[in-house]
Amino acid sequence: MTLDRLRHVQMMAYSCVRYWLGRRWTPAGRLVIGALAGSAVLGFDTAQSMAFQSFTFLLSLLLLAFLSNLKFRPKLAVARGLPRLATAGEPFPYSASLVNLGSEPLRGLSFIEEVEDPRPSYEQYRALKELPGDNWLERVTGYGRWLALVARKRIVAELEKSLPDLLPGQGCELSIELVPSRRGMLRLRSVSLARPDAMGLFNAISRQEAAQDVVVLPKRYPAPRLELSGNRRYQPGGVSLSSRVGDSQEFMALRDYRPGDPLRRIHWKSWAKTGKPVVKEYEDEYFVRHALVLDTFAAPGAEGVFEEAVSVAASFACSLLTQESLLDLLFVGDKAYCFTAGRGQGGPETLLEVLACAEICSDKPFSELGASVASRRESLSGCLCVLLAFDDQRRELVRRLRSLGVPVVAAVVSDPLLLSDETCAAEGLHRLEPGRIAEGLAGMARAR
Amino acid sequence: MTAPRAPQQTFLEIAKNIEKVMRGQSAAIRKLLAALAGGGHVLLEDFPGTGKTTLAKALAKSIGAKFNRVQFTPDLLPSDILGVSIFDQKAQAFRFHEGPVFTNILLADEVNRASPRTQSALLEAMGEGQVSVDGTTSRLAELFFVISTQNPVEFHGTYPLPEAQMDRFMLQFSPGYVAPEIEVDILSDQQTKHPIDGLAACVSLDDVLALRRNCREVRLSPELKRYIIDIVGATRGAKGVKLGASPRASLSLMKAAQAAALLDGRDFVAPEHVQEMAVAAVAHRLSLDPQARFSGLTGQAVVERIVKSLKSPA
Amino acid sequence: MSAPPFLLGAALLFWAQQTGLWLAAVPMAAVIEGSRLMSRRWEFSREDFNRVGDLCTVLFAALVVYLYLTREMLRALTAVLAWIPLSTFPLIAAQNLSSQGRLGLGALFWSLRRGASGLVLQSIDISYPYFTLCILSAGAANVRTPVFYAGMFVLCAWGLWRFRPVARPAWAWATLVLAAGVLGYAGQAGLMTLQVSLEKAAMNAVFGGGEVPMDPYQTRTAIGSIGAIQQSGDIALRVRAEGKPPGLLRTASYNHYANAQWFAREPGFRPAAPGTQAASWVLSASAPSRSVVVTASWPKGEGLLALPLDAARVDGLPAGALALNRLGAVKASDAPGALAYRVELSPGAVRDAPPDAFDLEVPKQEAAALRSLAAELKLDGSKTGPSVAAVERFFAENFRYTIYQREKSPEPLGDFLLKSRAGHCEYFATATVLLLRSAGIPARYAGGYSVQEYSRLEKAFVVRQRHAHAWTLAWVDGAWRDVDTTPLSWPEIEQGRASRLEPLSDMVSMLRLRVSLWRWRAAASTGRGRGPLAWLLLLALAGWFFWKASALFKASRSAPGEFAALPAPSGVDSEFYLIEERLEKSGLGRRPWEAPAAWVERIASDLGASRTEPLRLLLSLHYRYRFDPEGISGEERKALRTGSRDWLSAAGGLECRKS
Repeated sequence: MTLDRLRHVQMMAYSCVRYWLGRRWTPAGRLVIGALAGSAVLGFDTAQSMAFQSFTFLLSLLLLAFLSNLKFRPKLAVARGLPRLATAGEPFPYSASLVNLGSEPLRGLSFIEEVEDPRPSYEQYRALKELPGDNWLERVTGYGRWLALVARKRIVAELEKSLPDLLPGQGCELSIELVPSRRGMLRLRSVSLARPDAMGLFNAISRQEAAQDVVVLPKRYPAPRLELSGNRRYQPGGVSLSSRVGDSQEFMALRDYRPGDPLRRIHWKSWAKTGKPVVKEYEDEYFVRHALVLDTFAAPGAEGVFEEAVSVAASFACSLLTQESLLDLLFVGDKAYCFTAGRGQGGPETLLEVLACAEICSDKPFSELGASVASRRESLSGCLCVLLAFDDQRRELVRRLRSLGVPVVAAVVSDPLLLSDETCAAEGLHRLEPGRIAEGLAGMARAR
Repeated sequence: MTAPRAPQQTFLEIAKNIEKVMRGQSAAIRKLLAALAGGGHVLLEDFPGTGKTTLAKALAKSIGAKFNRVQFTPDLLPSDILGVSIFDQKAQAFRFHEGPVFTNILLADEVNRASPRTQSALLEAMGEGQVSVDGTTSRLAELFFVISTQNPVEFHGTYPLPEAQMDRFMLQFSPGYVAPEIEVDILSDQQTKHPIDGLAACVSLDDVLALRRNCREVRLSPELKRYIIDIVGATRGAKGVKLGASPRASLSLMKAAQAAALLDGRDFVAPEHVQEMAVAAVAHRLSLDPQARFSGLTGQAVVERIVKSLKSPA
Repeated sequence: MSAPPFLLGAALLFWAQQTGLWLAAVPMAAVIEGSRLMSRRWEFSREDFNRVGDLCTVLFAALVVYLYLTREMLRALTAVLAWIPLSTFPLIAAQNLSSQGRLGLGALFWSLRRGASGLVLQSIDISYPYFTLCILSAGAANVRTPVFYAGMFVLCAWGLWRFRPVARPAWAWATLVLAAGVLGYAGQAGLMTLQVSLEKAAMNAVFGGGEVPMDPYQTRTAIGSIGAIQQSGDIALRVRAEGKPPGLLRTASYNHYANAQWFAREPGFRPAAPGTQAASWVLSASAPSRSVVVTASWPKGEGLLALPLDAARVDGLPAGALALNRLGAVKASDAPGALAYRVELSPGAVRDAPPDAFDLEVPKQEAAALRSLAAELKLDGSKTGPSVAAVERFFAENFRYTIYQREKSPEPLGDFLLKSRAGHCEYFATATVLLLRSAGIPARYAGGYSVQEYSRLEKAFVVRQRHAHAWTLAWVDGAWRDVDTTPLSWPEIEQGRASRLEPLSDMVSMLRLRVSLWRWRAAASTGRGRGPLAWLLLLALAGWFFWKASALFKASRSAPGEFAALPAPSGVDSEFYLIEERLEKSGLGRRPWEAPAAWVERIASDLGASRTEPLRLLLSLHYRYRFDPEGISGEERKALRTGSRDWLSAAGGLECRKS
């Protein structure tokens, strides 16, 4: 227990030092610090080497740089033109406009985008057990776990850009490009300005609050067009379900005119032939509705597999929606959720935004997912399940759906060691290996 | 008949007239008139209630043209737009009942609400300049100007226009919300009655047709032609763009730049005219990579970036 | 971050000036700076960089081996530090000659070679680290003049100039750097004095009890220090002689006693005269009669020679310097770590100075007791010979030897003489000296070794630490003489403390000595015989590397630029461009993508209405000239020309702002 506490304290201290060195000292300053350390080591005995002289000189340089650059209070107005959405792994550019509101010109400054602190708390650090991929050094110092937790929380690394000179009242536009490393809600917290001292070694920092958020959508792979062999099911409400205005327009039959029918429904050609007004009748809407089921019940330590499953679901959400059908996204978070998209209910963005924030469910039983899907079986033409493993519960879900007459395509994101090819062939599954999802999806397309 | 007006004079009069009704939208009015003079059609994309209908009505009233408005709904049929052959019992013959498209200025409101079948009917009429229904072909008016509007696609219940069809619109722009001071003036104007009711025609249809002819005569140096081609060509290889702009885009940009030069009273095009119209003429024709679209990239951003990266002829 | 031109060359020359390695530095500087002048660059792949890194490792290892063979350990370490720029030179050369201009990180760290693509920084510019290395290596050469500080200051300032933020004034930079220089100089003096005082304090804390080893630099020895040395059985010297070897080998003598410590007051070191042959030294001018070979090892490369009283000359001692003091101690410095020196003995050779006032001093505390004892023994200052004999007899009959034990009594000498009458050699020696002095006979305290034990294994007399000894030097009949009053049984008594494993450790010691001797003899006699071998090895390695790598070197080709033929634009000689240039200088320049009309509107507020209006007119003329396919009329052309000139002359008021 206390060993973990010690490790946590040590990693926090280490990250503080690294942050301080990286933020407060320019690259030249860090070079001087490195040279200082070298001369301290080599010049330890003042009788054996003259390196102690460079030690004192470099130390004086650093001290003077520090002391000469303590006060820095610029006045700046910052406005960012952020896009609403971004994608994990893809760079998104935006422009920030800054205006110098002070009375002093601002020259030679750097602009820094600050994100929220990605360091884990002690509870989170303790909760994570050892990772299998660490070497012994990482295990002993607890560095591997620290890195993994930071990578989970951090969406984008901080960014520094140099500003052009700004005279009082002048403004400028900075074009910035950020690359988010994972999905989620990117919260930009504040903006800092760094001014180096006259020697270019030490930075004075002035921070300003400017909070803005961007939704980072999950990474998507090219997904095959699946033909879920399903019947068109009767969707009560027809097109008006999806468009809220007017009647549907599938022409089915002709019938005699009844008083009250709108004139535009008259079939003129028939009137010409028969001499009686004849009206076109429109059928109720039948179209295809699919379900995309996402398994959120991941075992502890399988976060990477879950991320891949979310990416797979996102890829399918995009590909299935380009066809003329409705898509229901079903998953269990703190309750059973269902989000619908397609045919005017909204584009893939709605589902992708939902998937961007999907989290692992650790407190509900798996049966909730099964119940949610089963309750909708009447309106479903087909079901695509993205599963994290293939144990008994999941096998039962797939079998139950198939027995109810719903065609199911099950994609399992799993390591080949845990799910053999024979099981896949026997149960009619598709296995997607984490880290090689694109190949797996291409394989799915070929298999069809 | 009065002496033909100078083209710039025509422009200024129409603009002034519209400004009485639409305050603080001079850039939008400029683009609208540029499309009118260039012989193309316009797509306005904006939130509801920003005055798109008022703009179209004001334009129609200012030039004394016939104005029709069609509200697109999901159950709208192509025949509701183009027209239908009705069987006349007395004459025992089919009579073509013209649809709302037979007009000078057509406001197609919320065009992305209709089904793709209906949308393509309108777009074909725009492109061809004539309508074929039941074997009969009818030509549309010589001055046929369509102002389509659509809500930004995040609202539910929409069928976004296919990108290949977006090519048919010469310009796309958004009037946008106005500054608060101007919005106050709008409230003052419309306190008792709507100013559009009192709007009268200030130029005639012939003046507008003359304007179109003059627009085609505005001169363009080879260097600026090259600049236009460079801008459009750069969209084809730009990052995040699946399909770049076609040569139709270059033509539209050229015509729009000519119109802008004419608006400024010049008889030749200057670089700022090309830059002014570049986004409106090119951005909506780009087909973006879905990945890039979800990263927040817009056609407008792509074109702006391209213009900033090319050296302007000086 | 690449270094400014000639900085690395200057640093290398500074390094050469401090270490004296001009032969290496000049070509290295030439290669590094010369690569700037030539445009040819080679394509270095990741494997090539890794190979260069390996070469540097090999060079470093070869350097260590070479220096270890030709110098003793501590000197070798400092020499390695001084030579580091040479061993890391391939890295900087590869970087400068490569087309990338940066070094792949795999060259520096083996762990990063296994395709770590996750690393953000794949390559690094090592110019500045190499620069730092040169300066620190120059410091390792330990040339203790202010030249180092001055050179380092100038080079560092030069190197730092590149990082100066252009927004800040240069005088601020200069002030800060100069202030740092002054502060640093004060600091380094302070640091030196701090270290000296810390060392003194540490020495006092550790050795305050008085166990300072026999050391003429400190010029004192405490009662008990020899006793401490005697606790070890390690072999200190080996003596070979024809016949009987000299019984006592002295390392140092002392003349002043106070507080249970002997001091060498006013030793007066002077350099010994070198002899006719190399590595030969003359201690006193007397004809040698016989010689003795002493084998000693000095880990620090300096030490005291253990010599008999009548040593006249020393041969086979390739030391940097030999210093001799009045009290007969001979200090060698800059000597090999292990050597066998030959001592030529000559009876009557005198290297010690004649007695002076110090040699008759008796401390007040013991004076009374000693005087009474002297009177009791009937010691007579005039009859030195019989007096000495009397003293010897006195001690031999009444005293016995005990192994050294730490005494806690306040008056150890008094106890020894009157009460216990038992002690070890230091007490006997001290008592003898003081007794003789109180009788008016000059005497000194001598410390060294006693030659006792013959080793059949080594076929020489081995002198162990146990055989460390203290005795008296008495001035008898006008000459100094060894007087040893310690009971003769003392070696056996000390032998009793020998450990059982002694024969084994003797064997080990002999082997180590043989290795050391071989190493140093080779270095001394053949003049760095191992050196050329190491150099050959180095050259062979370098040759193999270059032969292997030359197959992979290819000159990089620059991609030809593709420029489509543009129609020649018209109106490029418009005078409006001059106006553009003028405004560019004032910081109001047109951005490349900005159309001229938009630019004029943007700078209108800065220019003021009076200048903007004519500018707009000129712009429309310029536009017609450039963009109207029908061209510009003659008057308009003239108007453009004259108007531009007028505008330019009127625009003299615009200040030239540096943007």
